[in-house]
Amino acid sequence: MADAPCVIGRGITIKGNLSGAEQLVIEGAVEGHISLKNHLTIKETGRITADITTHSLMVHGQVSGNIEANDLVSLSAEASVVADIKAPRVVLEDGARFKGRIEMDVQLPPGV
Amino acid sequence: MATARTPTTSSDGATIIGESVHIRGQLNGGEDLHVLGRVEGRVDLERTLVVAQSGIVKAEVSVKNAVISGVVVGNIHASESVEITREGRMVGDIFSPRIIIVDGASFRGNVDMGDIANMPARKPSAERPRPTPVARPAAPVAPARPAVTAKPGAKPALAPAAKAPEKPAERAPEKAPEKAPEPTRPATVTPLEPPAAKGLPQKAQKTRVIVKRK
Amino acid sequence: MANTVIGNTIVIDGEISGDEDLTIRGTVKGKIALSASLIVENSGTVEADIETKNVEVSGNVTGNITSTERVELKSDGRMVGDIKAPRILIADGAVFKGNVDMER
Repeated sequence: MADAPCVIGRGITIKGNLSGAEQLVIEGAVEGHISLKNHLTIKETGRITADITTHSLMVHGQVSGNIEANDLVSLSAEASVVADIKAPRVVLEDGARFKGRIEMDVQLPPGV
Repeated sequence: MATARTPTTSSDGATIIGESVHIRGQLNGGEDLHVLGRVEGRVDLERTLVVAQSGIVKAEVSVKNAVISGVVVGNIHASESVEITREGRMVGDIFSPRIIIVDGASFRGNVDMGDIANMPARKPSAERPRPTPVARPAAPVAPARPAVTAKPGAKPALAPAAKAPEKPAERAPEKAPEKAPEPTRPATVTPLEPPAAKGLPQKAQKTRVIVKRK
Repeated sequence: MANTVIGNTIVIDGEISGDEDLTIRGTVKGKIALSASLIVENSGTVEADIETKNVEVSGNVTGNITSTERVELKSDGRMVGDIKAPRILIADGAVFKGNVDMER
C-alpha cells in the first residue's frame, strides 16, 4: 500500500492544512496549506489555492499560492500557475501558463 | 560548431558576435543575432537572439524570440517566446507570452506571460522558433533524427526476427506479410515529418519515436 | 571559431573590442578596438575611432584609424578621418579625406 500514492479525488474539496510524508495525487480542490515530504502531483482537474511546501511537485492543473520544493517543480503544458516558486530545479514546459517569480540558484561566471 | 564559420550562414542574414568579442552599448537590428562573446547594454532585435553556451549578455533585451544557452543578466521582453535551455543561466525578469525553461537551466526572476487567465491552452507541439542554425550545437538532436527516419524501414525486419524463436520457423514469413502494410503507413507520414520535426523540441522527437514503436 | 559578423540591419552604438576578425555589413558608431582584422564591407558604415591590426574598407568610415599593420582603402571605400599605420593602401576610385601618418 505504501507504494500506491494517496489520491484526493476530483469530487473532494479540502479546506485547511494538508500534511504528510507519502506521495500524494490531487485531482480535487485544496484551499489552505499543503506540506508534504514526498512527491506531489496535481492533476488536470486539480485546483489548489494554497501555499505548498513539498519535496517535489508536478503540476498539470491550477495552482495559486507560493511553492517551495527541495527538488524539482515541473509545470506541464496544461498547467496554469500563479505563484512564487523556490526550488533548485524548475521546469516550465512549452504551453505552461505561469505568472510569478522563480528562484533557483544561478551560478554566474565571475565578473558578470 | 564548425557550421558557424561557413560563409553561407553568415550571408543569409545572421549576425554573429564571436567568442572573444565584447560589445558595450546599444545594438539594434532586424536579423538574428548569435552571441558567442559578450554584449553589454541594450539589445533590440526584430528577430531571434541566440545566446550560445559561451555567450554572455548583460543587457536589457527586447526581441521577438530568445534562446538562451549561455548567460543572461537583465530583463527580456519577447513578443513571441523565450527558451532557457539546459545550459542556460539567467537572472532577470521575462516578459513573453511563451516561456520555456528546460530541466538543468537555472533562472532567478519574475515571469510574466500576460493575461494567463484568458490564455488559450497551447498545444506543446506548436512550432518552436528556430533561428538560422549558426551556433546551435546540433549534436544532441542529430542522433534522434536518423533514428526516426530509419524506424519504418527497420521495423518489419526486426519484428519477424523477434517472433521467430518462440514460434515455428515457417510462421515467421507468415507474419512478415501481415506486417508488410505497416511500412507503407509510416512512409506516407514521413514526407510530412521533416518540416514538423525541424521545429520541434527534442522531447517531442523522442515521443515521436515511441509512437512508431507501438 | 566563428568570425564575428555584424549583419546588414544591425546598428551598434557603443564599443566593440576583441581579438578576432570582425566583418561589418551594418552600422557601428562609437569605438572599435581589435587585435585582429577589421573588414568594413560595401554595405557597412562605421562612425567610430578604430584601433586594430589590419583594416580593409569597402564601405563608409568616418573616424580615425590607428593600425599596427595595414590599412587598405578599396576602390569602393569612402573614408573621412586620419589614418595612422605603417602600411597604407588607397586604391584607385577610393574616396578619402584626412591625414595620413606612416611613421613607425
